[in-house]
Order: sequence, then structure tokens, then C-alpha cells
Amino acid sequence: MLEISFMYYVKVILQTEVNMKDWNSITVDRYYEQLRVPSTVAIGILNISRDINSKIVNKRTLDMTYFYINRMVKAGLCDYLGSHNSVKDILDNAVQQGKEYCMVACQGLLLFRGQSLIVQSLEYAKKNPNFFVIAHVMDKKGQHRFTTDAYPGLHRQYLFVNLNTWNKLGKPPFDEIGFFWDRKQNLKNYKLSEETIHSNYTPAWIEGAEGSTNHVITSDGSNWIDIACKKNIRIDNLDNDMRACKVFLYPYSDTEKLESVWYNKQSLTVDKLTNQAQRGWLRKLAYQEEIEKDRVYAFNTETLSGEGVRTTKPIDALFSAAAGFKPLAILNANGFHEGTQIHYFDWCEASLNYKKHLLETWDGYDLHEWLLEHDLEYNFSSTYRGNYESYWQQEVAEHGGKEAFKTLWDRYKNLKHEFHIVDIVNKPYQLFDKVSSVTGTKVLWTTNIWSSEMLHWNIEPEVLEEKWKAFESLIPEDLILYGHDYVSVDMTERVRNGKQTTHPRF
Amino acid sequence: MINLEKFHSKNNTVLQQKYPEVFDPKWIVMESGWPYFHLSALDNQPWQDMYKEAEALSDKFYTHREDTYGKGWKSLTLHGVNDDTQSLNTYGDRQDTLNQLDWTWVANECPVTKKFLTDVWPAEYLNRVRFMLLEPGGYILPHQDRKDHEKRLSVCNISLNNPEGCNFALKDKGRVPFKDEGSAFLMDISNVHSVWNTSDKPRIHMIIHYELGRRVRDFFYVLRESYFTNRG
Repeated sequence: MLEISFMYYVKVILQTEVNMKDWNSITVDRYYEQLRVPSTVAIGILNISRDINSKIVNKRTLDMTYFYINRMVKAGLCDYLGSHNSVKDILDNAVQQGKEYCMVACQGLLLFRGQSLIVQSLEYAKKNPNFFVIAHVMDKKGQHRFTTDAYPGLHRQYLFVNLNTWNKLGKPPFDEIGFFWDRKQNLKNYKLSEETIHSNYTPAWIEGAEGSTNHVITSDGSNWIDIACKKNIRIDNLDNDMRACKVFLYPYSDTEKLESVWYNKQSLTVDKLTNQAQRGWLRKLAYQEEIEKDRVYAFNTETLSGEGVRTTKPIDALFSAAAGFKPLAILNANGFHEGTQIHYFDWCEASLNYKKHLLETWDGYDLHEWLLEHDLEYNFSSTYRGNYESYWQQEVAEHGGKEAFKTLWDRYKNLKHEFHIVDIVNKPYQLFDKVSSVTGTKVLWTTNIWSSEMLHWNIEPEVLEEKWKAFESLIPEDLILYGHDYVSVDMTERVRNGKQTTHPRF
Repeated sequence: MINLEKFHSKNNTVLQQKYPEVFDPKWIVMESGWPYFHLSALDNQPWQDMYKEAEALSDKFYTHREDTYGKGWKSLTLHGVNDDTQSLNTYGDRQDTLNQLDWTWVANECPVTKKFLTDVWPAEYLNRVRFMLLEPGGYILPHQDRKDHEKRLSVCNISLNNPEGCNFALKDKGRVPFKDEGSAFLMDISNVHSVWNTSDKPRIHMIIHYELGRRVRDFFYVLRESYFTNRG
């Protein structure tokens, strides 16, 4: 049963991959709702602060690497091991915790689709139970003038290690790049696949060959390749699907420029970044930041009703972010009446206008047709733009069918709706002034505003925590809460049940 | 002596290197042709404490190359075959010799120096490490330690002191700006060089022969920090 479920979940995720275009708008929940797998995986950050010549880039890359790991942890897919200076420390820690596999995420690695990467890695592990490590196998010869004739290595940005095999191999440390002239390294000969992943220095796999040779230059992880080759274990490279789940910022490269554009993404300096990964990521963020100014979310990326019922009486007033149909799901789950008021808040006026427009003109059937008709009027999220129908069908199914949705929509649209432009991160009192002006059973849904990627890129978690605390201090005792705090903890868990977690300090 | 005076007067200027915009460690070490490179990232090491440790052992030093091109030149080995280690190639099979290398009693008497070599110096392996003392009035006649085609920055020469009047000169490359308060330089010893201590104080340097091994990145970052500090 477990196996069937697992494969079903894999199918779900693979299908989801086909459907979605903008992975970075995915947060923690909706499309991974059923992706709970046994937490056999641990993940630790490989701290390379020594190599980063900027306090800002050093701190922020640690923050952001953790940010994505935290999503994976909150999705129940892995446990976090902290930040360590060596791969061996991370693996030892994972073994102590009884884990089977360990992800090593180098500082600066942004696992924006980490959930999918774990699923893919576990699928690989199932097919290759005796594997040692999945990593970026690098044939350094010819890649860089600095490493001509180097023995191949494994890029330290990301490793997925089978701890059982690592243990059997004697728990070898992960050696760094080396230059030897008196003490040349005698290493097992190797064979590289003819197939490559994206360049001539990224073979699909590496395995042992007859004999051994002395080497003057070794690469990161050369000793792991040597050991694997001696034991006839093939090491596979990450395939393109795995690679598409993450980006590495190479924080030690062009660090000064990276620092200058971190908070200034629209700067022309972004184009001067020499590292392609940095340039691509910053351009993407800059574009995202620009389009988010008037971006409209017709559908939610989080679960509609995973949190369940949280009120004992029907809702009198719902304070809701202007995104998707989650407000309907909350009303439907908890109950509401003709006099229920809906207060939409958003810092984005376009989202509020979209809501108004929808309420005034849509009949509750075939949303995809309405969206197509008004496609050019709004900047809809690219996640579903062009795939309106499939997303609409999923929405309808989750609401109990076409007619059930229509009935709910008709009740909903006849309620009293008010619209407020409010920035709840920086001016939370504007929201809570409204909240305190009404009486009865009141519900607040903040979606993932506090735990969103762009907010965390732009604001250090220490600052964000203070802003969150200011927000939290204004929450009245009688307000029912939906949504997440700044570290992706359910607000009810935190505010009402005392789960006062914080973020790691780097 | 006339030749010595001539060599030092001709090569008495500190020449400025032109630093390219882009830092390239391989170019610096292997291709730049620079006669020396100041490891300014190490400027704040406790050189003076190390000087005191070495000075306290001044009666233990061995006379060095007195019969060839040195006068008042002495050495004492911290890491090597013994406390008077010569070129490693003079002991037979080099690999066997490398296996014999170890700390000498001198290192135990010099804890600050040893700590620098184990904890700070960015290389995995130490080959020969020696204190080199040049008495007041002492000199090292012009010579070269590597052949012309072995041009590259290699050994590290650290001034634990460098009194006024003691000059390290390189043929056609000028004077090396060692500091009296201590300073570390990578040297290209394929250049003809000479030292003359015209001061009234003994000069003590430490010369490190090393192999980077798996500490390439540590070395790289010392080089990089120094590069940008030197460039200003």
C-alpha cells in the first residue's frame, strides 16, 4: 500500500511539473499536499563562509539556503541538521539521527523546488538501493585552466548521500581540491559515460576502470570517486529534472557585485555579473518583483481546507487576502450567514480590482472561460496562465463539483464585500483597526504573505521577525487565524498554541 | 665585497608591480614573472613573538654555507629531517626523505611559531622549515636556488625582523620590502638574489617549503586577500 501510494505521489508530482510553469510561486502546500513520505532524509547546510568575501552575501546566502530548507521541513519531507563546516560533520550528524539519506546543501544553494528534488532522489534510491551518492560529477579536465589534468570530482554545491553505503565505505571525509607535487595521489582509473548532461565536463556517470594513476591535481570529492571506483560503485550525475529544482548562487564568485545587487535587483549591474547562475537568478527575481506589483492570483497555491474547521459559530467577518478561492473554502468549512462580511486586504490594488470584477460579472460556472476573456486585463500568475481549465477543474473537484461550487459562489457573492489596500508587513495596524471595528466571529487568513520568497530575499529574517512580532502583538484574542507566520508555522499553532519557533542565526 | 656593494646598490629600489583588474591565482604564481608577492593577509601574525622564540635559541643555530657564498649566515630547522636539515634531495630517495620529515626539538621550544605553522599557514604539508639568521655584517652572495626555467613564486620567506640596513636584493628586480615588524613574501628564487646585513642587529627570517595538498582554497584566499590589499 505504501509503495502504491508513493508511486501515486510521484505521478502527481511529475504531472504537476508538466502543468506548472512558474515553480517559484509555489510555496509549501497545495500541490504537495499528498506528498508526505517517511522522513528518512536529513538535510544540512555546508557552511563555506570562509570562501565568501562579503558579510552581507555570507549572511544572506545562509538565510536563503535555510529558507528553502525550512519549506521542505515544514512539508514534512526531511529534518534539518544545522550548518556545518564539513560534509563529514553533516553526515555523522545524520547517522546519529538514524536517517537513511542525507542531503548536503552548500551555502548559496536555493532549493526552490526542494520537495520535488527529495521525491526524485528517493525514487532514484529505490531503483538503485546500493548507490553511494548522487552529485554533480565534474570532469575537470578541460573545464578550467586552473584544473587542467585534474582527477574528476563532485561539486560541493549539492550531494545526496546514501548513509548506509557511506558507512560501509568507512565514513570517508569529503576532500577539497588539492595540488600535490611531492605527494602525488595514486587514484583508481575511471571511465566516463559518453552521454553528458549539459556540457563536455558533466558526464552522466563515472565508474572504475583497470589500474591506477598518480595525480597532481584533485578536485572536491575526488577521494569519493576514487573510493567508489575501487568498490565498483557507479556514481550518477544529477539529471536535468533534478537540476531544475535548484540553483546555486556561487557566493564566492563576483561577490562584490552580488552584494551590490542583492537589494537592488533592478540595477544594471545585474547584467555585469559574470556568473551565469547569479545573473539568471537575479534577473528572474527582478522580473518577478516587477510583475508582482500587479500580479493577480486566480488560484491558490496552498491547500484549500487542510487546516479544517476553526470556529464554533458561523463566521460573521472574514478578513482575507485577495487570492484564489481559499476564502470560500474557509467560509464553507466553518459556516457563514447572509450577514457575513468579507474584508479583502492586499497591498496590490490589481488583486482587489480583480476580486471586485469577478464578483460583479462572473456567474460561478467555467471560470477558465471568464479568465480567458479577461486574460489581458490582469497580470495573472504564470503558474496557471495558459492552463486555466485544468486548474479550474481541480478547483471545482476540491469544492465538491460544479453545482456545489456554483451554489457556494451564489451565496458568497451576495455577501457584503469591502476592499482595503493594506501592507500587513509594514503597516499591520491598518488591518487590525478594521478588525477591531467589527464584532462577532472573526476570521483572518493571511496566506503565505509572511513566508514568501521575495519578502525573505528582501528582508533579513531578524528584521522580519521583529515585524512579525509587531503584527502578532496586534492580533486580538478572539480572532480565528489561518495562514503562516514568518517561518512558515501555522498562525494558530504559533499564536494560540504557543509554537513560538524562530529562525537559525547565522 | 666590491661586487656585493655593486649588486646591492644597483638593485636597491623597491619596484611596484602592476596589478591586473582580475585576480587570477594561477597567473600570479606561475605566469606573472613577479619576483615576490607580499602575503599582506598575514601581516598581523605574531611575528615579534616568533622572533623572540628564535632569538632565544641563537646559540643553537648551525653555520650555513660559510664555505660557499655565506658569511655570518646560520640556520636552525623547525621541521625537517633533523635540526640542521639541508636540501631534501641530498638525503637519497626523496619519497623516503619526505616520510621522515617531522617536527624537531626546535618547534617544541617555539610554540607560537609552531602554532602559526599548524593553524595559520595555508598548506597541508610542511617540507623543510628553518629559521635563517644573518649576523650583523653578514652577507649571502648573489646566487640562484632554482634554474631559469623554473620561474614561479614558491617558497615563503618571512621576516621575523629586518633591521634598517639589511637588504634582500634581486638582480634586475630591486629590493624586497621586508618589514622589520614582520612580513611574509612568496619568492621566486630562480632570480639571482643576495642579502647583506649592514645593521648592528642579527636578522632572523623563517623560510617555509611546503606542499599545498588539500588546502588549496585556504592558500587561494590568503593570496586573494593579499592581492586586493596590495593593490589598494
